[in-house]
Amino acid sequence: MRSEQPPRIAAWMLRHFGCSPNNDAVIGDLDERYRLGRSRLWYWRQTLIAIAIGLFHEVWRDKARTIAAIGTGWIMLGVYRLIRDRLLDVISFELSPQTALAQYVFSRLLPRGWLIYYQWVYFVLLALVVATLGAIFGAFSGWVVAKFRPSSRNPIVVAYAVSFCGYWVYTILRSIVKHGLGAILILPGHELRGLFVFVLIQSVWMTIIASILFGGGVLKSRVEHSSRDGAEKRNE
Amino acid sequence: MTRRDQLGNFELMVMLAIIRIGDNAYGVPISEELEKRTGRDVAIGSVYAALERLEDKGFVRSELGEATPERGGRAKRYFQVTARGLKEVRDTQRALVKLWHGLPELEGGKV
Repeated sequence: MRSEQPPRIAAWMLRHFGCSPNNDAVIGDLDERYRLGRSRLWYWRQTLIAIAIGLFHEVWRDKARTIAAIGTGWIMLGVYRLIRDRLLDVISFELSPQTALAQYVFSRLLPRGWLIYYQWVYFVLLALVVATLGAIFGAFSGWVVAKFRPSSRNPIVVAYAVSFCGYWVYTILRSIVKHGLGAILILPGHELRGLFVFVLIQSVWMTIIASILFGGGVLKSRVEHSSRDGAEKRNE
Repeated sequence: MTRRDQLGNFELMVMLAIIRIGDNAYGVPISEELEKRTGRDVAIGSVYAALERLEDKGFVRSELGEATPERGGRAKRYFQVTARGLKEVRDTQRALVKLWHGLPELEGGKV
């Protein structure tokens, strides 16, 4: 049986990622038509189109500011990358299962057999450190980007997050082109570990994207009122 | 008139829908009217994008209306064509009719 309530995830997405100055009216109209008998699939399709069109429309209206904001965000992520690489150089060596310290711990203090588990924990530790650093930089850059348009931060922050998602997809595709699908997912002889590391790396990317949206205020619970009262507010 | 002020095809259709509906022109009836007249599914997001452009150009104005339970307590936004918008629709109609006139390929509805 069809639920009276519109699809929750779609409604949540539109509430948070919708960029139109009339977003509340758009949500209200979709809810009204859904309750008049439209399908869940229709609601989803309308939601995705409304988000895409709203984003494009608002970015296009304020191109210069959007470019400046995204550029600033990317400079900050460039700094993150530099720090991350330096940090990884140090901790990947210090925490490695091959170091004398690890060998000592797992031969004298802990059972030797546990070293095999530590090899997995090692990747989780690296991912945690990188994800934490990425979350800090992501949230800060999202906050800074939002400052470029405080009256209507959604389009600019979502556009920045989308640009980062684009770069994420590009890095995956580049790896596939360079090394083939098997090379990025599976290390010969260590298939499961390869897949595990791949999932960890992707979770770091997702953490940064979520942090950008959080720092930019997009994921905050939004006051449900129309963000516009006439055309004049938009021209701030 | 600058190029930015000209009416696009979809914008013209939205304005005609608002004129047809009259006082009750908000997102739902506008999109229903467009679907009824064109026979195509219309995305509410694109209707609002067109309405925002039209408002920027000064061809329509809007005001918040009442909130209803079937809208999840959200207010409707009613749209009205301005005098400038009405003039623009008339000018566009005149220009289109002139272009249409005397084209044997388009007579009798055949293409």
